[in-house]
Amino acid sequence: MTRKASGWRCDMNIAENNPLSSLPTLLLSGVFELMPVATEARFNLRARHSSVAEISRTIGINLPARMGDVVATQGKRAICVGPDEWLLSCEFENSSDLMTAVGELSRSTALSLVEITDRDCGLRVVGPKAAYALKAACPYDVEAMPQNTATRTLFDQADVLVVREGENSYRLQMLRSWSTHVGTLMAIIGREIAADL
Amino acid sequence: MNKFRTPVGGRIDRGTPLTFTFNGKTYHGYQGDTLASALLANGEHLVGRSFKYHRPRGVMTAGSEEPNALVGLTRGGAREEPNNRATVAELYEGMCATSQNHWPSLSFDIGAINDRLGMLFTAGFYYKTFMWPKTFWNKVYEPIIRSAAGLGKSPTQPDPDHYASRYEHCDVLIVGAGATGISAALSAGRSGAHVILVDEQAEAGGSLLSEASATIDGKTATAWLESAIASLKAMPNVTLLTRTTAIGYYHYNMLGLCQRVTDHLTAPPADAPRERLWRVRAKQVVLAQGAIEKPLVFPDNDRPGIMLAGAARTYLNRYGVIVGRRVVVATSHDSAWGAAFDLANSGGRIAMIVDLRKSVSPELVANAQALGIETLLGWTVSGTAGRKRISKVRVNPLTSGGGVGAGRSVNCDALLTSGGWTPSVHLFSHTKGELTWNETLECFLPGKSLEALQCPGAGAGDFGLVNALNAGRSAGEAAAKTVGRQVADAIDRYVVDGEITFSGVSQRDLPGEGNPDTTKAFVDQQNDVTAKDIRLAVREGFRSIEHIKRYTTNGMATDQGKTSNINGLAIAAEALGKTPPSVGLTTFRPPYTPTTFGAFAGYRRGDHFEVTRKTPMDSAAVEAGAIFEPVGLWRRALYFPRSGETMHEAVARECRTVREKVGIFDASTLGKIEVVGPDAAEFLNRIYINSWTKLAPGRCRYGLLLGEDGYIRDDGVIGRIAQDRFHVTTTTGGAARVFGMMEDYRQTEWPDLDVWLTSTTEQWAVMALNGPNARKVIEPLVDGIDLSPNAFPHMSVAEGRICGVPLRLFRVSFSGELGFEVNVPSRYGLAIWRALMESGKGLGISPYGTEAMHILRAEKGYIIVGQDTDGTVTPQDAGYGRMVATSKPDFVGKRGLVRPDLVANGRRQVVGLLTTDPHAVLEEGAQLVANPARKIPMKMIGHVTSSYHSTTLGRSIALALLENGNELIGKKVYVPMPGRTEVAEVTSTEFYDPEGKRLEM
Repeated sequence: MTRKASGWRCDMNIAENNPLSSLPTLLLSGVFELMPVATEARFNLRARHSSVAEISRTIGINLPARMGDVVATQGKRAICVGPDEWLLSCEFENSSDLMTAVGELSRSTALSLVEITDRDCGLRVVGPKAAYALKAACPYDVEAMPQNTATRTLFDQADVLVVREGENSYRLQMLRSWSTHVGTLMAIIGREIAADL
Repeated sequence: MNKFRTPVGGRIDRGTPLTFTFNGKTYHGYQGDTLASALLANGEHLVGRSFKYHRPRGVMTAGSEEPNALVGLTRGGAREEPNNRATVAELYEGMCATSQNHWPSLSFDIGAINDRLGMLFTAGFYYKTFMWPKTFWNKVYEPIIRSAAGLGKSPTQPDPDHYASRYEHCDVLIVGAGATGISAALSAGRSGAHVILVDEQAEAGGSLLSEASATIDGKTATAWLESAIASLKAMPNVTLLTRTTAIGYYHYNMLGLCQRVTDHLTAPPADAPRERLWRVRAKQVVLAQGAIEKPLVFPDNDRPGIMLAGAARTYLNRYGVIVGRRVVVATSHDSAWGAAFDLANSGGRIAMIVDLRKSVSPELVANAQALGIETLLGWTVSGTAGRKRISKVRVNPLTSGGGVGAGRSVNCDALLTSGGWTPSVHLFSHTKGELTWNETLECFLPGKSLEALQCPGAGAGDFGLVNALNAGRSAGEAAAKTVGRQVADAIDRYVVDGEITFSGVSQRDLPGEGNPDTTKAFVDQQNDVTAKDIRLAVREGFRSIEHIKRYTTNGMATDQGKTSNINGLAIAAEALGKTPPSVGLTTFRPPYTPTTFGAFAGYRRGDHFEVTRKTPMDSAAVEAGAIFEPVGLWRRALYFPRSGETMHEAVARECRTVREKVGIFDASTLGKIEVVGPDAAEFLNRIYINSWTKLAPGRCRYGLLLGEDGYIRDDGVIGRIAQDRFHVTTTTGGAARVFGMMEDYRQTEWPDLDVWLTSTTEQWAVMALNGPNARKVIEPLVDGIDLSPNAFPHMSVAEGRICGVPLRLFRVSFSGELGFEVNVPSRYGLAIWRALMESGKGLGISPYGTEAMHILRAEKGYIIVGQDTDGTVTPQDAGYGRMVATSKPDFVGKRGLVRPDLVANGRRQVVGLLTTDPHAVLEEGAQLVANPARKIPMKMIGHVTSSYHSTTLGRSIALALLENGNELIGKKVYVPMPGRTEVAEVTSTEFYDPEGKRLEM
């Protein structure tokens, strides 16, 4: 994908490069599908509890108060990952509006908004054995997670954020440089499960 | 097909015959056999040689407690493994097994001479025999002992198999699928609780698999087992794992389980793991491990053909194997009588039952008589004969004085013994649970535990089938209730008929006819420890069972004393004149049975051994032929050799490129932290030694970070992006640590500050362009930033675009040349790298690696935290004393810096060294001395921290930490190294362009 931006003066093709894009999509019928999550705009938002209502109004999403809770509306999503920390994501088209609005607010309200679109990579694991597959290397009880919740945990040696998006649908988010390790390990686990022993 | 196979019966699949080899000879067995049962069915009792005396040994047990029958198994190629217990190795078509510990052959073994030299090999012989001369230990004794001793041969090739892991959470984990465990699983499972039931054997059932006489609720044990397993399998909330050993019990009900997935298969599928290590967190644990039979200790009790009575019963009823045609049973426990009866009923001939007890249940004697078996009550066994198989057993009446009367010899081809049963408390002990000594049963039983667990059945000394079933049911119900499940009331208790009584008397080593000092009555057959070894250890002053274990080696190695610990303890306690509980039991430690390294490693092998973090430009480095080095988990390009170049030549070329033209360097691994908030500058004031308040947006500053002790911990360039926003960089290795430290101070020390941190290390791909042509490379690509020297001087930062993508551009340099650091969102890193390479084509651009980077910075005297500092270096020591903003009210390390020893004279300071011989490159780590003529050990006044050959300067350079180094500039120091001593002049650290003119281009 090539995104044109203002000030384009280079006739070279500036392509995006995602470590997971070289990972073959894994389709194991009856087991799970493994797909990289399409790039979206991501932000780390930090603020005091007293500012939550104001920020929620500004960005048009009710920031969840409980750790692990996920709120998604109108193409935006907020995950509470700490007492004063949220991961926001939205479509690229909306990202500059969001940054502008929060930037305006930060003049009067103490907060921190930092873009982390490129820091993390996402993998979606969907299928009847999705949870079973994650349990091969994740010590957290992902089956006990209610739908639409998230947790920080480990997958093998990698720090990951696990989001349970549906009954049989999970999303792993991790640092870009850890994602190849996680993705290729998931593939090994998928083949192991398909061997059914 | 097999000489010693019953015509019918057993759980083997007679429709599936299998062929296997043992020591090269071909044998036949059936699906469902273990290697041990198949060998016994072929009449082969001799399966190995013992560890120390090389005595012929046979199969002693039918389970994982086996001390003798250790074999090597190979599937060809690198798939070979020593020390498999033949008693648990499931037979498959084509299995290839070899015995161990002998040369040249199992039946004729030179090492058996050790048996005659037994006097040399008493307890602690290692410690006594090989003490003198001392110099012989390393060169003579140890190599010989190591090659002669040891169990089996280690594989020499990498393990080609792969291994898996799995985490699981459950309500109730039940260890052991015998009568107790199955009963517990049925009741817990019916409540709806999530139950996991594990058993180390190929089939669930435990002793029920060997039970021929008892009935449960009117069904035969076999029929009951079949329906119970069917019920469990029908429950979706119950997971039954066979071939799965609970190897360890860890804190908060976390258990490790090792599942053997493919070892029993003739042709394992490629994608299936050989083993899988489960880590299960259970709300409730039921330990239903049962009990292990105790052997009797008497002279020559180790000949092939001597086995535990319960094992013989298992071989008969489970595998259809008759272990002997003329069998003697020696026991002090009822259960062995049951084995005798089963054998007699299946065509084996029982010559005699010898019971050490003066009286037993009349029912047993009547049964024996009905089967035509001679019984001797109050008699003992005092010895055996036979070389590779027992041929005779000596039996004697016990006298009232504890000795023996005139004996007689009885011909036999098998001797079955039983000294009673030891509850298996291994896993319970892993929890640090308290073991209590039971006087009546003379065994240790589980006492109080810190974990949420229960130990029903034989594992708690509650012996007998009916007790096991009912205790298991209660435990299962209790566990289910504890996790909040409903349990149906008033289920009838299990009814068992035809069960043999289960009483007995524990024994020490049995009295014999001969001189007890010359006979060998084995306690631990795996380590060749005899009763007299234990008594000798006590005589030599050992009092604690832990010391006795180590001195005699009793209870060590693969079986961990499962059949020997209790006998050893009883003998030691008697010799000490104490009760067993006051002597204590050795500590059980995980794993319960030998576990492969592969199982522990799991997926962590090959590419997945460690995470290899690659930068966004990694593939460009690969294309450019980079040689990589690991830096933490990152892999970084060390240098980029062109064809025919040595490392030295390549690095020299890369350095020249930077000094003369322009080099490009992947700096993405540098840690980055975005510090944002109204109090961001104040926060940095308190974290770093220098002041940030007056740093204008668009400007950068080098920051030093200390610990509270005043020592340098990290450094990096910090740019002020906006009034309330800083872009902090850290060292590659320090990124996570610095982030954690900052967050710690923010949350716990200064919660009043409105400031927050976000790790942005991987948000940005960073390319450092260094060299006189650096500006020319980026100029055509950058938009929105005036790059002219006046508008964008050294130590500036600005946001703009490069090739249309967002850019944070720093004008900084770690080489001393004109330098820019291009930061772009990581997904564009590779494309921008290529664009910069393209743009720099006519300007002589070339990538350079970490080695050139290190040399370039050393030429400028820039330190690397962690290389030129060692955690005891202050800013003053490093030459950065002027950076310390002492006027600030506080910062981390401010108080530490004024500690008396940090301001005292004689501190080691960072200096430069130039060797008199310009070609001599000092070794990093080499010590510095003032006068090499002094006597050794002479005073060392410092050491070399960085040392390189500098192409730029045409000579070697070094940085060092030197006592009072600043005062010694111009003086000589000496650097003793292997084979030579170099002389060096102490200099300033700035070897190249000390005025810094090249930075200002």
